Amino acid sequence: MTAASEHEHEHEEHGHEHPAFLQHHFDTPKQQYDAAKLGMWAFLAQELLFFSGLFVAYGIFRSWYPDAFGAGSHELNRTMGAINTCVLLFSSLTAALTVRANQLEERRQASVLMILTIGCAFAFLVVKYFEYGHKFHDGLLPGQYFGTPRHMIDHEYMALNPIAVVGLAGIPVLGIASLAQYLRGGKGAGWLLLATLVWIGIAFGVFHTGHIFATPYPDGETPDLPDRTHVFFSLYFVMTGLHALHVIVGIGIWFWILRRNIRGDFNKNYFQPVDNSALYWHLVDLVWIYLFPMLYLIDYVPGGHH
Amino acid sequence: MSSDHDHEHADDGGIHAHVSSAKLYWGIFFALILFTVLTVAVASVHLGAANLAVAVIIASAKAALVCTFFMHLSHDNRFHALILVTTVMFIGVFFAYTINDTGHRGIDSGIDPQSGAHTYISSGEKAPGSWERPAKLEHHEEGAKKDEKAPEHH
Repeated sequence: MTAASEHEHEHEEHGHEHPAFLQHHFDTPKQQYDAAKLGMWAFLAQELLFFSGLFVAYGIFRSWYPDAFGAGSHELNRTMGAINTCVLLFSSLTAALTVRANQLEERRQASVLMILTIGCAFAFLVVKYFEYGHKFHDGLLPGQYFGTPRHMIDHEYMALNPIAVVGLAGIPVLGIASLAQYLRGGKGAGWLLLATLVWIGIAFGVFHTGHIFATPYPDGETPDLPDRTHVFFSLYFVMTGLHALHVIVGIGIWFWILRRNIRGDFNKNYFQPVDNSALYWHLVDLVWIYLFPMLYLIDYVPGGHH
Repeated sequence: MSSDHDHEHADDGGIHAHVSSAKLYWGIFFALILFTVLTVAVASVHLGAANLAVAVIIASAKAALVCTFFMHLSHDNRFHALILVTTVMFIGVFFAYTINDTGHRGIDSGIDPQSGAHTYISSGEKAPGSWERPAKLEHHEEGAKKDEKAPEHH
């Protein structure tokens, strides 16, 4: 028994198994959890800082061109914005509840909540799709494209658009990667094939809606809005677009975490992937909490300064 | 064996993280919805410049709720809260210094009602790089759609 006191601090002597979920460079699950969480918070700090760049730009241009911002904000659909806010708040709730379910090792409840979170994310994107569609149709486009009559933006222009070209390149890349994985016998060939098909679907959808650009304006006139409204819409599309990109990434993350949860990876000593995914999702919600009033709810008094 | 027993008591390495009640989460959710309704309601009241301030304050209250309860900052290692607070402070510095600069520019300039461009008041000269209102487009015929060239945009 005296020998035991000498080896008090050697975990191996006490028969502590190193569970599969515990990385070899960590001593205890708690240490792993703390380290992962700290890293996640450092990442969240970075996300906040880079969104702040856009918010500062917003602050500057709003103070310089209050009329344009008021009129631009008036063109946005507040109801859709409010719906999106509530949808994201609810998804934040389900994300927090799913972490709790994983802490209590209630796997089925956790899966249901993850599916709800993903569902809310999709609902958000669907509402965004309709919003953007209205903007395109009304000529409320970012920067130099603002107010441009539709006949000038046609299929040929869309096809030569460098972003479209780069986007299309993703299809052969994913397709070849899928084939290569399949031939190598590596994992994930099925997922890559699915990704290829999804990419083709998205490309089809984007080019299909591109014909909205080709629909001529009824009278060929630009919308009757204050001079620098295109600045507002530049900021609107970049801020909400970057946010929507984060939502899409979040959907991917939740699908992956859902799969891991169904597989039974998580337990009360290993749930930080779920926790960190939820932290990311809360950040996405946080950004929208600020975006909504700043973009959609600008006070607008036609013809007057405010 | 007593040393084993002490060791298990003191630290078995398990996470033992605080588990919040579901009721708390639902409560915070309804508070957030309430604040959202408040934000929309206040937006329809004309308060002038105060509208932005009020909107940001309410949004910050919502953000504080999300951070403290949904993101567990209240029960976490204090360092995580420190990371968030210092980030917000640096964002504040970013805002303050930038707006202080841009807000005091153009003392001697205004926006020309004719061209919409920033112009120097004393000389009437257009400020370099200032955006100008583009020329109005003529109405186009249906058949001439493809032939028309786009006007200069900048």
